Amino acid sequence: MREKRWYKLDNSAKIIPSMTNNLNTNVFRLVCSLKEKVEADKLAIALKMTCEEFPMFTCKMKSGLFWHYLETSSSEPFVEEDHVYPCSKLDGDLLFKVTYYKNRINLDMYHVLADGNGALEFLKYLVACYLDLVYGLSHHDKVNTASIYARESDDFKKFSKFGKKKVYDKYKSAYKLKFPRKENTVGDVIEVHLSASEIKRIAHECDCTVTVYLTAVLIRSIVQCAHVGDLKKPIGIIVPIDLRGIFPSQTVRNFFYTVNIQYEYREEDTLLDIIKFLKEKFSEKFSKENLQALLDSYMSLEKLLLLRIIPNFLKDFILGIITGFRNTETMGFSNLGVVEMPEVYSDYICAFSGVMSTVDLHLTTMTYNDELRFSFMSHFVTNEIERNMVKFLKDAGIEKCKIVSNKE
Amino acid sequence: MAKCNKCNVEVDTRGERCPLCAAKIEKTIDPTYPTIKTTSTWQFIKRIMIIFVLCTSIIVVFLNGFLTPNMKWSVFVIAALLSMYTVFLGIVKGRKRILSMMFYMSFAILAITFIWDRLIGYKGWSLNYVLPSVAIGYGVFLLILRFVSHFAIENYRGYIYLHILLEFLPLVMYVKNVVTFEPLALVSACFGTINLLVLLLFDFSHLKNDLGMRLHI
Repeated sequence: MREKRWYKLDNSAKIIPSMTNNLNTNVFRLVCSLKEKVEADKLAIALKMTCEEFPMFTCKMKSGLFWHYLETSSSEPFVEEDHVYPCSKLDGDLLFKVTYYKNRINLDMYHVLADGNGALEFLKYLVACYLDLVYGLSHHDKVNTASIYARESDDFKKFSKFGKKKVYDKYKSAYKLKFPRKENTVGDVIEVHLSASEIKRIAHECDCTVTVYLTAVLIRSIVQCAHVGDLKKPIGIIVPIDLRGIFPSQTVRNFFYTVNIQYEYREEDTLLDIIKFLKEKFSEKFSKENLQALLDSYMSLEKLLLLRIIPNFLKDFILGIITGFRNTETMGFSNLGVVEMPEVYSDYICAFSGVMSTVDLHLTTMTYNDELRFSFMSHFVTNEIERNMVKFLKDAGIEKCKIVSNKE
Repeated sequence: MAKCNKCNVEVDTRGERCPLCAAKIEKTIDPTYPTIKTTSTWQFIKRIMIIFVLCTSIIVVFLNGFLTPNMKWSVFVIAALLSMYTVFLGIVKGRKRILSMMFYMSFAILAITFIWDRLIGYKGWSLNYVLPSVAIGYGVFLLILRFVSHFAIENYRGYIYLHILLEFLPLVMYVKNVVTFEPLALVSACFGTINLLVLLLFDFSHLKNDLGMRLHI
């Protein structure tokens, strides 16, 4: 039986339960596509090994009088064949689920537990253990060398300097996507498989990074679909920033903030103009000073006594209403970057990909070796933005392009 | 693999249309994503229940109107149907967490019976008999779970704390003259004392930790 422990929710996780509903489950899915079919029994053993290394992940969420918290669950994690839509609400105690289908290993995780990069460390370790078991290798210890303590650390607290001046960005009301919505609450996934080197080449030709290039193409694709009259409002792209890139953190819990990049449409703007605008915005928003200020501000907010003594159910209710009325974003774009695994595993792994639950549309990209996969989660009947984006990339000179979808 | 000539891309999907432009394409023989069953058996049963409640209510209202227009007995039948549906929903929602489901169901039953008691001319049976009976029943259930089964009761300690308060409630109400039937109130308080003693003997070490978890600011 596991040792019972409990953890306070981190700064980012505190707001998530109030934002969770049937449409936006706040569950994200990370996928590792292997070159061969997954063996369920070996995956189950690998999961057990992984959970011993990441004990915090076997927690359940409970409600306290003032805040939610995580407590070690007595439920045993298990693997099963995929039989639910990606990012569906998790049933049972645990806040994650491992499924497989053909050559894919899926990890569905509730955002309260970890962010994309934290969950990715879990998935990488799981995949490494699995491949070690199947092919008689022994390299899984090289995947994540952090101590269990460092993995469980709440690094929002560790790196915040309380008492600093509060900085909250003010955003305008953003353009909202106006496509017909699906009748049911499950989102469709559209994955686009591309060559990472091709995208990199094109991005470098435009003198920018892949993230900036893809964001610019996304904005252009939105502009192409929108009515000009509606574009009086800016296009707001929510971009999560992995704070591990700024602070020396090894935590697998949430350690990210989201920033809103609002682009004001101008008819004469070309792709290069959008790229120039984004480069300036990214360097301003992603600077260490700005992120430190953001971290300090949100941590100070969490420490407000008035906020802390409000009963939990009331906090959830109020925050749920506030977030429900939030209208400063058009869609979200998460770039989980390049996945690094020990070289020995590259013979067995095809690619990594991910999708994030959303109320409208969300784009997630991941790269492994030369395979860049971007995946849309959409609640719309039509997929015009996705189509425009693919068309734009094909026109820009992308040769290899494959679409994989769960749409019927 | 299927190809969409309109979008000029290879397509792997479960449908017969391109996910991007909806143009007709060849069906993917072995798609990457599995076929998902969309409606569960519980959802189906839930819909049947809704239809049953609605149809019965409509029929009852019509019958009431035609046969005995001066007596509003259909209100009680509809209230009974809604009570039944509420209990059913509670069971469906909490079927995987039996102890918490039973706890919330106890409160639902208490609320429903209290409303019924008021509706048909308050006689106090909801507080005199139902309240202590529910508290005793749940208390016995807790003791059985703790000592007979291998149920992980430590996961539900919060409900146990609240339940002990519930077991003492009839006695408090008796002292305050709200409850008039003494024996059941006393038995309920006895069970409350037993549960409290068991809690102090077996779980005292967890009490501080539990309070820390649940009350952290």
